[in-house]
Amino acid sequence: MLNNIAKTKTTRPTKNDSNVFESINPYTEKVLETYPYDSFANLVEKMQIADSAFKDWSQVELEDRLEPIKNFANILRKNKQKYSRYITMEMGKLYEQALQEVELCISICDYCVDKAPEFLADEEKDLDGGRALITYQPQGVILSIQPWNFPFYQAIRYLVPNIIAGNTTLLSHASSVWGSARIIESALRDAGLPEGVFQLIYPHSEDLEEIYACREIRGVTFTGSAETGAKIAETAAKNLKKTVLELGGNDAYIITESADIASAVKACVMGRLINNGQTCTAAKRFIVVDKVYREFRNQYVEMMKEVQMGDPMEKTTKLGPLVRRDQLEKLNNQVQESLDLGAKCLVGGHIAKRQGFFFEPTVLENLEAGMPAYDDELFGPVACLIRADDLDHAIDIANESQFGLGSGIFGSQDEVIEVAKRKIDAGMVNINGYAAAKPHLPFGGVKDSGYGREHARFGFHEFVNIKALQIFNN
Amino acid sequence: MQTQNELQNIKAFVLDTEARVDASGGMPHEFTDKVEAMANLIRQMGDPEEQPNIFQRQLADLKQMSTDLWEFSANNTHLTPSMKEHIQAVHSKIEEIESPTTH
Repeated sequence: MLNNIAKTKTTRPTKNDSNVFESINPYTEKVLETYPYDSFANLVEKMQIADSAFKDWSQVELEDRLEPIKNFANILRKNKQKYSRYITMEMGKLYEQALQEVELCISICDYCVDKAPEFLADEEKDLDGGRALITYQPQGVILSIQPWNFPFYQAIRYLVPNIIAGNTTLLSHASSVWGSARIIESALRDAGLPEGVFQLIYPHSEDLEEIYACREIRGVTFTGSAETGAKIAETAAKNLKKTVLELGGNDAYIITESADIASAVKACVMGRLINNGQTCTAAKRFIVVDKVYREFRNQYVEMMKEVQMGDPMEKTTKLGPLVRRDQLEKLNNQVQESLDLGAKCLVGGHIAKRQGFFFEPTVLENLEAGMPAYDDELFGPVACLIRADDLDHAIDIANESQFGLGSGIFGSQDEVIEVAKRKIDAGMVNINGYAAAKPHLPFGGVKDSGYGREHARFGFHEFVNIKALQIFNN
Repeated sequence: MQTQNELQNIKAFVLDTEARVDASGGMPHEFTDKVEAMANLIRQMGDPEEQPNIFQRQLADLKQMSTDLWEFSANNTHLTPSMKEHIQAVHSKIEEIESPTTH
């Protein structure tokens, strides 16, 4: 049943005049596809369908809920080259990395299918005069708002555990990747997922805000900026809804005296450039202790100079375009403002003069608080080098950021594991390397990087009703 | 005689088409089947210089498929303008391929 907001406004026109969105291939700068936005009435109808589908889907046995996900994984396996090609066309990710993304999605499906019976099993507990059960029950419609930077992964990492758990879901994907979203929707349909369990919505942002306030929406999961995340959390809190927020990051990678500099440089360049620099958990700030700063900086700059920009479909390309022109201009403004405030550019620093939304591989130093390159998240191939007096100073610099998503540290294991565990204020720490998310490890942040966790048992339990039953002997 | 590079260029165009079909959404089955058949054929096409006779037969099939697809898309109201434009570009590229000289 709809609440008052939806009941009274289903026929109102959307406030935004634009009714279509054009997706643009960031390498060719040509229009790839045109998509119509949903009217507010369409959004409400989809929400009703999802709510109605929940009543059936939540009563399907777990074993049967796993079947469509197994089929979905097989469809991803069969079509991974084709899907990866589209990801590259749509948002400029290197084809090899698009393949890795689809493969990660397959492993998420496999992992969730394998582990769901364990993670969702009832737990027996002692009880005087009887017994008790902890049981994990689905709650209803989960609204998901996801970004463009990992168009398959961002959607699949939340939808697979939620669908398996018995929830239904509406996905509002970033408009830049509505094509990828449609591919996922089509694959889930072909996998045999019943109608209404998963639906795409194409909302104007002002409509979306009213949708997630509706009673039918039981939870909201969002990945994106801290500013938008705070607004979503505010509306959700007013309506007493649970949220999971994975927000920005300005991940610090600390290089200690005991680090193997050559291997640290290699991992840190890769960590900065992966996904063309557009990853929440990219390595962004490199905080290097004074004794090894010069050595690290020189090697880092040399490696960045060698990075080849080009066609993201080509194997030789190491850096593709940014997703959209506005993102390119935003990054350029952040870099130029930092330079105006006294930062020093060691390589790159400009929008590349060529076809496509390319920014030159860039390294900045002499950074301090108050500069965008120090304080803010730079979503592109711009590395920020910061000199620290020693390890304690490096940790202070790392932790003074408003963000706390990922991070890293390089040095002897004896020295850095305890530092990573007890002193670095972030949700995830890479030690002596750089790695992407894993299905069996929790993913999420602290501070302005949000709260809640994706993956592993934690991802399954975010939007289930953890219910206690006390059963007394007669 | 076509070079391997030219063939790769055409192959990329056809595989792009295949990748775009699911993303466009709501495409008629007849259209998706035609695109898939064309993509499967072009995946099998070998070196025009090493096996000119086989290549010539495959090329004739590809040109026929491309013409069918182009005619189908021109008259179909379900396809988006950008998809129609892309099909037109693919068709033009394929039409430009010359058959290799046979000996």
